[in-house]
Amino acid sequence: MNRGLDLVLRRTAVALITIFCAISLNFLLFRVVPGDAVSNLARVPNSTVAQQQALRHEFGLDRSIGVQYVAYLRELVHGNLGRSFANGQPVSKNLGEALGNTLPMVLLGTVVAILAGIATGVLGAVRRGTRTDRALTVSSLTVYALPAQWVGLLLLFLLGGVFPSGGRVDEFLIEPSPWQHTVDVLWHMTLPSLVVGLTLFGQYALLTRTAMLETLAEDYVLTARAKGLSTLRIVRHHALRNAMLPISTLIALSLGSVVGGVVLIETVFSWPGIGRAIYSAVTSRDYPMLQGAFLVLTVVVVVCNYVSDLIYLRLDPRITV
Amino acid sequence: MSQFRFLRQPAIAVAAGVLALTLLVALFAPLLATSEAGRRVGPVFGSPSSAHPLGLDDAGQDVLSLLLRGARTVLIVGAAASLVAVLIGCAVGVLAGYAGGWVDSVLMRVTDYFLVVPALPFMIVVAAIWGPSLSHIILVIGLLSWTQMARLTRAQTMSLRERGYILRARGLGSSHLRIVTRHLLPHLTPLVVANAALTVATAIFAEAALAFLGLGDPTSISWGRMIEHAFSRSALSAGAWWAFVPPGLCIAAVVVACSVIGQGVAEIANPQLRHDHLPPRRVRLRATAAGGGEDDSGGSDSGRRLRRRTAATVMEES
Amino acid sequence: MNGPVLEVRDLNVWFDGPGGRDVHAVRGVSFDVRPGDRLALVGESGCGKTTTVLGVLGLLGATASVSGSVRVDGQEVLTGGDAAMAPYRWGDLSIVFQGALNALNPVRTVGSQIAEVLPRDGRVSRRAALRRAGELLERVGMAARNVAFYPHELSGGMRQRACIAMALAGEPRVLFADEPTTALDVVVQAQILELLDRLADELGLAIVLISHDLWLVGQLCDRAMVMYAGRAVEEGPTEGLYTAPRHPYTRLLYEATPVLGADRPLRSIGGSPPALDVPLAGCAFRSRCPDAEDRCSLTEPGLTPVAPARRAACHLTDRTP
Repeated sequence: MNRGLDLVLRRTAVALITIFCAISLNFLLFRVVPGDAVSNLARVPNSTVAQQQALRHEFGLDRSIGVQYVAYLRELVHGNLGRSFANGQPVSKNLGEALGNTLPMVLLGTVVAILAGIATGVLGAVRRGTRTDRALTVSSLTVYALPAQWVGLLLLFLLGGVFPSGGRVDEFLIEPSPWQHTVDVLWHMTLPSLVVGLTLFGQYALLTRTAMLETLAEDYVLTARAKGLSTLRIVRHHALRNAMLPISTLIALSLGSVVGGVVLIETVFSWPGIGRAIYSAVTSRDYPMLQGAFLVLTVVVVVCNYVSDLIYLRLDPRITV
Repeated sequence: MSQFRFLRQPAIAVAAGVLALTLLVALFAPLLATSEAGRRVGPVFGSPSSAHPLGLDDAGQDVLSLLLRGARTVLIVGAAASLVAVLIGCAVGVLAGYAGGWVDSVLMRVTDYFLVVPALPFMIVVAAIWGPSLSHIILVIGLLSWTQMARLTRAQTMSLRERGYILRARGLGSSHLRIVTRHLLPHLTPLVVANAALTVATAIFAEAALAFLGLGDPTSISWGRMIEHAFSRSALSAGAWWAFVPPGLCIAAVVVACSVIGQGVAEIANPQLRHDHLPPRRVRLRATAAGGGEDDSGGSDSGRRLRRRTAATVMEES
Repeated sequence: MNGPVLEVRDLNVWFDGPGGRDVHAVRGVSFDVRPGDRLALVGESGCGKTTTVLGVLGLLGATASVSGSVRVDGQEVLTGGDAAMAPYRWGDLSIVFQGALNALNPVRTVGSQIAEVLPRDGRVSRRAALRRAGELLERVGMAARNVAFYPHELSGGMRQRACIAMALAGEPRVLFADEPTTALDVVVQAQILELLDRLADELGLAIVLISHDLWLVGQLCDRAMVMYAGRAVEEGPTEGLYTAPRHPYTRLLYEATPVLGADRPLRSIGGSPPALDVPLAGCAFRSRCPDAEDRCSLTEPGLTPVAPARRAACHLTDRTP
């Protein structure tokens, strides 16, 4: 009991330290890249030197780095990420909305990908070397190798008539009931989630197959077989249970990058999420939004890593350090 | 499993063939492409025809010619970015693994940071700040793709460091540089090659992604940019699937080829996945000459057994 | 009741080798196990003793092919495959593997691994099964509360005891023990040995011990089969094998075994066993045999009776009685 608590506390501390480092490096990234961010990003057409100076002052770029850093941290503690250039709203509010739009879409796709990927990988490993295995491996690899934006375009091309081609809600739906609204969102979510699911599926299937092959070679699988257990039981209770250790960790790890990589999918489907926020911040030179979105995504990755650590602690009774 | 190995080899051969073909196309694209770069040869989104087997794009350019020219950019970015990643990754990994101590700690914290940084957004930010050009794209991708390489080479270096021959070389007073270049790097090669092939695949993905977001090099044609053009210039509503389907398939082919080679090299270097303990789906019985129950070990026994082997039968599990 | 439980006749095992050069790992091995027997398969590592047992129990992988006959209670199980063997697994024939750490599944408790092989009449509850598992642990000298432990929480000797308890769960008639004391310290070795001895007496178990250790074999078994290069080279009562070995290999193996207080020099056997992926001509042991003659390279000797209940496969047995 104590040991588990101790471990959790330790991991939490590590996660918090990582977040602090990420915040600091995030600060540096946006300030010490060659040519400061304002002169590069705020290439406002016809901007005068005076305007740029004003912009510099607004961001405090004319003060020393140390002062800027302290100010940055102080604002951050109060949840203040600045105001968006594009719509004048607080960045935190914009990002909160965006993240709220992204997460359900990504989660839906990921859950489908996890279930299908693990099932496919297990089947491939159990039937290793057979035609089934080869077919599954080749298709997983192919799906993995297709660029997400391309899969999105193809689905739009093939199913664009059936499903909405973009956006999160039907703008012309007047005062929808909560039920109608949910159905509408789910309907819009189908294609983008499908793309998320497809691009992850291949990766998860290949991963599961490798992890399963490794555990199937272990001595305890031979023991299980000698005990006369059925193949199904050997696979489920002995092999998969152990293979789930690396699988679940890697899946949790991949989730962080999925949220970041969703930029492409959200662009294709005009999904108003965090990825699109980054993209439009870049194109509209919305510097505070860019910095905020980047920070949020980094924190999401750290949290995913933290969760993967906790899953590992939960699943593996051997961890003692 | 011997048949596994057997099946594995043709896959690697096909993958190598795909890469070789892409390389040839990239080298001789100007000769192979039927129309000049940037030249309008027909109507916008013209359908595939005998003159233009893959149709025309949003500017009336021949898609096949663009595809051939695009191979060059893709390979340059893939190879160069992967090289950057390999160099950084190996340097960090070997240094951390070999030196140990605080050097290791510092380098690994840096690696940890790059692991948690969301790669694509980072690339977008840096590419946007630096401005679009081929060399920037290469650097950005390379700078964000070395972490895996660093972790693997570090682990391998740490295990190699304790091997007898390296300890012996140290005892005999070899310089660190000599130990690293003569004794360590040769042993790291399979690992590095396998991972480099996988890095090429990620680099090609990243290039396509950046190009899709309009952050690619505007002066060169790439498969990623072709997809971007098709998207932003409404190939979909024009029904012009030929404008985006071929470049996507080309990317997939090269990425699959790189992954297969990377996996293949890794498996040859680490042949641990060759057996399993599941019940075989069939029990393989070999016919034996009807003999008494006792050991019938006679003189010319080995010869007879050889013949028996060829008569091996396979019995279906009932 | 008096007939053999297990009859193995002319068992051959091949493993697929690269380029069709199959490894002939077990070459025509035959033996019987009667109720209460204590048989040992002896030889250096790689001589095919473990492969023989895996072949008998139908636990070989997909790369192996077999010939010969294995009967349990007169019922042929080798040719029938898994389905024919299934009714006898663990119920009649069970096994304790070497290296108890990997033989037990690291992410499941000892109790659950024992409980899953308890005979089920459909009404046994999980709690009752765990209680029975606890009784089995007590039977092998462990505390019943160890059912809740994970393998890594037990010492090597305890893990081996748990494996034995697990092997007893199916109430077997024949217990195979594959190097049950390897990697344990001498004191624990003696305890495990004593445990096996006691259990065999109490439960009327037949034991088939697989070992390279002649001392251990002498302590536990009354009959032994010495194996070399996949073949039985000598068999008979253990007492006679040591005092009057009839095969040079048995003699050398005995001289290579350290015995406390014995006043004789320790000798090692020079050379190494022959490769088994090429057909052997003549006696497999001749290259290491101090007494080899010309005829030894011409024909391979078969097992022939040399004394009451003794057989040896050596051309030279006709020289000295």
